[in-house]
Amino acid sequence: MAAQTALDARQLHDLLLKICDAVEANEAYFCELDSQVGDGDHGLTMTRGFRCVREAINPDMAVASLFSAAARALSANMGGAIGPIYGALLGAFAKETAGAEQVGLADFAGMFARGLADIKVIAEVTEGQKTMVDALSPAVRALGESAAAGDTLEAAFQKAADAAEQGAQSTVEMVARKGRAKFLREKSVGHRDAGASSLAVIIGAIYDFVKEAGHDEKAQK
Amino acid sequence: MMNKDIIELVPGTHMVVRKEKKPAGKVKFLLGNGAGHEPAVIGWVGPGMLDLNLAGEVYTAPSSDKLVEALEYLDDGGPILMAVQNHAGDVLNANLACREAKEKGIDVHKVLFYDDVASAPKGFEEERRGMGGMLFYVKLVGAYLEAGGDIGGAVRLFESVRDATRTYSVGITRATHPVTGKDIFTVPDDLIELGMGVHGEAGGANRVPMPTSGELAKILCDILVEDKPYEKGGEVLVFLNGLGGITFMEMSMLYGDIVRYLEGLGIDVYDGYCNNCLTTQEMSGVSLSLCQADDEKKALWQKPCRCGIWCKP
Repeated sequence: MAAQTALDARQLHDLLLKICDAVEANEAYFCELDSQVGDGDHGLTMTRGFRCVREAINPDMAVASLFSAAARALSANMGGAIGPIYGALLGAFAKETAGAEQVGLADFAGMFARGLADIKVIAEVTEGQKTMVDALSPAVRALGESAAAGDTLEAAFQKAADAAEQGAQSTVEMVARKGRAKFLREKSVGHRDAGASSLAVIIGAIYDFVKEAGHDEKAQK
Repeated sequence: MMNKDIIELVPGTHMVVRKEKKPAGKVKFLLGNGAGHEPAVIGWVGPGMLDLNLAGEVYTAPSSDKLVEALEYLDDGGPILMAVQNHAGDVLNANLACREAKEKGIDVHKVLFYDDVASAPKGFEEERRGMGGMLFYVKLVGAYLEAGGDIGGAVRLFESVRDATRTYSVGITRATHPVTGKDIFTVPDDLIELGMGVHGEAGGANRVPMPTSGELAKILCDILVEDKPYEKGGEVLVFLNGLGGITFMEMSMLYGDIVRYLEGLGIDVYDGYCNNCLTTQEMSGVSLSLCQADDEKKALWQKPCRCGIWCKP
């Protein structure tokens, strides 16, 4: 059995499209979450950004070019706080994959770790403040552990998706310290953070993609 | 486009700029903000006010890329004052834009505004969000720069206006997000909500029974007067901002009650302004902003301005 161990540029292009699909499918859900404690537009902003990603990439792009085109599309078109944050995540992917032709688990772990580090710096966010970092941090830890343990991509992203989902759910109990929700202080408790939820959906989409890619490869053999 | 003699839209952008350009050598003044609060802030562009307003998407700060474009548009080698309302997205994009603009050799100076007493306790003023008190800095710093004031003085004046200003809001009826069509704010008919944000963010269910105009004037003034504090014998400028759904008659009555209440406390109202400026769609309600007025601020308040919301001869 030869489970998928790395994705090439063409597959990463398709992976980005899969993420765009997942974001668009969850537009109403993200808006609903945001309307509890924010201004109700997280789904709109996410969809606007990822529609621009869809237009900015093409199947002939090299790995790092895909990520840098996606990062530019997000930074330029989303606005708000979340635009620079997702722009920084994809921008970190581009930096980490400079010159690469394939991306394996160790690479993904490094890309997400650098993205998390960059987001913490530009947005001045730490864990526990009821933001997307609360979903991203556990996913980064899970990917690092999987890389060390030699997991398959599919197993690694299954664990990362679970970790991100649990992290997003953990924001329900948190008091918001960043973003519009912070002004509610303790009254923000009981609501799930929209940004953490969108990050969890994206990691979930990556898991779905590598699972399907692995099955396709097995089917071809 | 309205007011074509005062402003123009830069083609292919969301930048509204003065028709009659400020001459080279004078400091330029810009502000970026999420849309959805019209006529803020496009209606505040013109001589004696802003040189440029960059509108983002609805309730969404413009991206740093677009802020850099705006700075490049204004850049004539001289300094540019970029005002930033204290909201996470506005601050984040402004920080990124400033860094990039400075790398391009643009002499940009960023100043941050916060005035909403409901959003963080006293002692944590820098964490408060930027609200309607912004009219004071646009008017006063705008007048200062129109007269040829330098960048150092403009930054000092901006900070002085910010430290002299406090704002508190009240929501009386519901509001809808203009894109999703969903409620962003609801309140029962017989209650009002104190302290909600300019995007309809709930004020933390800080609800009280519907007061009379005179009672509401007291509620709003007491909170501001105690927070600053504004002291007996002092003078203030008043800005009563309508959130979109309140009538001019209602606002005028409340304005009168506010002036009477403040003067009853021994606080003299030098002058004021009342209009639907920084709105939250169809929500009825107001924000009240006070600014301690010294001689410099009073003189700048009297200077002419010409923009969509306000023509002062």
